[in-house]
Amino acid sequence: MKNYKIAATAMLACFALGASGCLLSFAYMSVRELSRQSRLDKQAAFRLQEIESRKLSEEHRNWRELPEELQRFRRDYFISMDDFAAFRRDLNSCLAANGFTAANITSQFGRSLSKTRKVTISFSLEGPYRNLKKFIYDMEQKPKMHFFERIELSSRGETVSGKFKMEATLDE
Amino acid sequence: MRKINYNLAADRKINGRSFAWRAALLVLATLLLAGLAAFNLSRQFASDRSEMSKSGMIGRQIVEQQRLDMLHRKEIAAWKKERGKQLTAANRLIQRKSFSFIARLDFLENIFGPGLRLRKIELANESSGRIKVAIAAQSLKELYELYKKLAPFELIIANETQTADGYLVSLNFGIGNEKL
Repeated sequence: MKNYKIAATAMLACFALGASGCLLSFAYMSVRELSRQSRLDKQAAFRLQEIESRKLSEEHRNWRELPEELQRFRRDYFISMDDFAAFRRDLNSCLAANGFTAANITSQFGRSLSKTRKVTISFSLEGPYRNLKKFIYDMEQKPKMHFFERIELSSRGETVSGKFKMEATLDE
Repeated sequence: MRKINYNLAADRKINGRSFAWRAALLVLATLLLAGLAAFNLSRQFASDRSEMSKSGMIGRQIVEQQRLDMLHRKEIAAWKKERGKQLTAANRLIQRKSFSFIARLDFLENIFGPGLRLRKIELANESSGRIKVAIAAQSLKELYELYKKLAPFELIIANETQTADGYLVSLNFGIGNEKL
């Protein structure tokens, strides 16, 4: 009888120990979960910082590559001194294609600034509005760095007279 | 006389089989609870270990990243000073190249109705896209319809003269690239 009693007490004690251990393990997990949350917040902050850093790196890369990009931009779009004659021929052929004669075209060369020179080209035309518009359209479509600075159109009966001022950027 | 013993438990017989059953159940439950506790703790320790190593790595990465960011910011600030003007000049040229006179002429063609005649147009390659026009109108009705159409484009009426044939008006308005 006594042996049974001892055995039962021992087994109940073991059960109590197991149950309390189990409860404590759950409590420990809850406590760790709370501290894990703060670590997760830190990780989220790190991820945000990572995104910001990526943007900064992108900006840094763009600024680093800027001289090459500017060089490419100049090479592709600026008119070199050698190409200026070609540009003038192109302007004349564009005028002729729209029924205008290239007369009194003046080119005024500005001073050199950062290896570029601004050239202002002025001329007047007279003809039908449609032809003038087509000429403007044709010149606007050209990829090189020249554009109209100012245009004045006045109607004179059936024809329209136009004063044009163009700007071309030369690469020296 | 025979002594009567009232304590029945003193000589109570315990059924060994029933005790064994109950004992086995208790042992099983104890083992289950202990196993559950061991499983929880081992899982928690494993995840703690991996997170500790990860957070340690993240900490090192944060420090390295902050150092790199500071270096990048310094370089960017220096480059902005050095190359900012060139970039602004290039962007200004691109903006001027993309200015469309044709789009503005199309706009004028669409907005002018019958009874109105354009006498003079002045267009300049500026970001504000201001256009100066001189118009001859046959009637006030047509003229005011035009004013209404141009009202959203910062319309400024410079002068309006009534003549024997109709009305002569000088006005200007702005069409930026974003409005086309």
